[in-house]
Amino acid sequence: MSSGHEAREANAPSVIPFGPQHPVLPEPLHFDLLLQDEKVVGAVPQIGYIHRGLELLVEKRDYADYVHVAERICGICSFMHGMGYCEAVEGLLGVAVPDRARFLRTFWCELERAHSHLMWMGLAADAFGFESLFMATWRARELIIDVAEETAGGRVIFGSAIVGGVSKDPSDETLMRCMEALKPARDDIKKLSRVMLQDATVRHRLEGVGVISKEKAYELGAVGPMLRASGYDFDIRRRGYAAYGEVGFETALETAGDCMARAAIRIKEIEQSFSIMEQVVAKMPAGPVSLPIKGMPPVGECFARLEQPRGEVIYYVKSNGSRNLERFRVRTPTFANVPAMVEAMRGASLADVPTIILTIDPCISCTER
Amino acid sequence: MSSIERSPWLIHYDASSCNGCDIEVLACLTPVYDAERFGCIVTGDPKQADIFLVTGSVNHLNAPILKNIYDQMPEPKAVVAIGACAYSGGVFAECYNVAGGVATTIPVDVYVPGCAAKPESILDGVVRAAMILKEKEKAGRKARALARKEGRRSPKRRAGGAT
Amino acid sequence: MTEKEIQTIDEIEPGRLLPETDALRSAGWRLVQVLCISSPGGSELSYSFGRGLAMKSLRFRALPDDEVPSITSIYPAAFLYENEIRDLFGLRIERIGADWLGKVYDVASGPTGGGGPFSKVTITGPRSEGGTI
Repeated sequence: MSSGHEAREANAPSVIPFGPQHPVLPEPLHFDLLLQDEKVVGAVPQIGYIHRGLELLVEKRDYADYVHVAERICGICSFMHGMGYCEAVEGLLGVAVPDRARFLRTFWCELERAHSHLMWMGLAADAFGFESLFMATWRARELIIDVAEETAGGRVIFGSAIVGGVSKDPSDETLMRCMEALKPARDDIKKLSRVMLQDATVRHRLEGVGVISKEKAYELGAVGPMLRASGYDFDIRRRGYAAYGEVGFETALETAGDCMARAAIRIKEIEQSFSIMEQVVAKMPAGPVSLPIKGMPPVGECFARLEQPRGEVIYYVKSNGSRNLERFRVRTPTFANVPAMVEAMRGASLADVPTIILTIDPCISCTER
Repeated sequence: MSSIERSPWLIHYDASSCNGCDIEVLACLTPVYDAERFGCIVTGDPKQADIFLVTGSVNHLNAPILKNIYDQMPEPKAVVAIGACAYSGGVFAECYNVAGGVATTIPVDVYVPGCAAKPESILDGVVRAAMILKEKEKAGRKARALARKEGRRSPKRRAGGAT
Repeated sequence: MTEKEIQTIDEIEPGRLLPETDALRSAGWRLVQVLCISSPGGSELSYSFGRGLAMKSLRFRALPDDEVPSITSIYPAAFLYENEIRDLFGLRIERIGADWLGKVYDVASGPTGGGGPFSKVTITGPRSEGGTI
C-alpha cells in the first residue's frame, strides 16, 4: 500500500500489528498499521482467516439445498443472504414469488436489519469502553430475537427462505402480537439512542473521527450507512424488490461523514425498520407463501441486488441446466467498504482505529466467504 | 482451595465461523443469558483465561493462532468447541479451505451442538467446562503433592507448551 | 425480479477494457464488482459498474496465458477484486495498484497449489478435495 518513502530511518513509520485476535473485534481481521508517532499513515489489511471457499460448494449441492449454505455466508444477515440467493435463482427460473411471501420476506429483512444495527450499537459501545450501553442494547436486542424465533424458527440463522417463497407462515395474529411485543424494545432503543447520540463521552470519541468525504466514499465504492453518512443518497431498497415498492420509508442521510454520522444513520434505520415492519404487517396479503418449484434451472445467468444492514450486496448465479449451478458469487457490502475504511483510517490516531473499524460495521465472514 | 470453577475467565476466538455462533456467545454474556452469574468474565488476554471458547472450523491460516492462544493459557484449562463447524466443519466441511474441527489442532473438552448453537446450550457447555476445570485442578494438585513426597521438583503449574 | 437495467452486459474485446472503463468513469459510473468464471478454455471476466440504481457490465474472455491489465489506475478500489481473482483463479493481472502478492486469502498452500482453487483452466489433476490442508 505505502509507496516507497524516502524518509530517514528515524522517521520511518513503525508497523503495529492489529489483530487477528483482538478484544474489540469478534472476528479475526488483521491490519499492519503504519504509524508516524501516533498517526496512522497507512493500513495494510490481511484477510483470509475465515475464508472457506463456499462459492465453490455450489457445484456440489443441489441448487435448492444451497440456500442452507448461502444463509451461512454470515450469521448476522443470514436471512438476507438466503433470500438474495433465492431471488437470483428465481430470476433464473423466471418465477415471481407469491405476495404473502414477498411481504414476509420484507418483514424478516427489516427484523434482521434492526437486530444487526442494535448488535452494532452494542459492539461499538463496547469498543470505546461504554459497557453499560453495550449490555443495555443487547438486552433490547433479545426482544427482537424472540420475535425472530417465534416467526421464523431460528434466532440468528432464520432458515425460512426457500427458492420460490418462504418456508414458514406465521399467522396475522402472531405477527400483530409480535409487533406489540416489540414496543418495549422500541422504547428502550429510543432512550439508548439518546445516550449514543448525545452523551459527551460518546461524542468525544466519535465526532470528527474517521471522516470520509462524499466524493471519496462514492469513488471508492462505499455502500450502505458508510456512503449515506457522507451524504450520498443510495439505497437499493428503492429498486422495490420484495415488498419495498409498497411501503413508505425515507432514506436516512447524514452529511458529516464521520463515525458519529455513521452511528446516527444506523440509529435512524432501526426506527425505520420498525416502521416498515408495521406497514408490512398492516398490509399483509393472504394466500400461499411458496410456489412449488420443479425441474432444473434453465441455462442462463442472473444478478440480484439487495440492501443489507451493511449496504448493497450483489449475488450472481450462472446455470448450465443441471441440478448444480455452475457459478455462484456474492459481492458483500464489507468487501466494497474496505477501501473506504482504509482511507478513513489514514491520519487517525492509533486509539481511534478500533472505533473506525467498528463504525463501518465490518462483517469479515461475509467478506471472505 | 479450589475456587477456579466458581470464577472461570473466558476467552473467545472465531476460527472460521459464520458469525452465527459468535453473536450467540456474545448473547450469553449480556443480560438475558448472563454468564457472569457463574462468575465468568470475558478477557482478551489468553494468559488470564481458563476456558477457551472456539467457534468455527480450522484452516491452515488460523490453526497456528488457535494453537498459540491455547499454549499461552495457564493450566488448568478447558476448551469448548461451539457449533457444528467447530466439531467437524459443519455445512462447510467439503469446502477446500476447511481442514476440519477444532480437535484437529487442540484438545477439546466440551462440544456444544447446534448450527447456530443456542445460548442455553453454550451456557451449559461453559458450566460443564468449569466442572472439568475443577477436576483438572484436583488432578494437578495430587500430582504436585506426589512429586513433593518423592522429592522430585514439582511439575509446573503453568504448562509452557502442551502437546 | 425482472429488472431490465441490471442485466445489461456488453461483450467487449479484451484490449478495450481500459478505454471502455475510462469512458464509464467519465460518465459517472463507479465500479461495483468484478466477477470471474473459469472454464477449461479460459476465464470470463465481467466488470460491473453502477450509477444510481442501474448496473451494467463489461465482459470479455481471457485465454489461459493472457495477461489482463489492472484497472486500478482508473478505479483504485479495484485492487481488492483484482487481488482476489488472482489468488483464487490464478489469473495474471498486470500492475495492480496495491499488490498483496497472493496474500489476500493466502490459500496458496492449499490443495490445488498453483492455479488457485477456483481455477478450472488447468485440467492436469483432480480438483480440490475438502479437508486436506
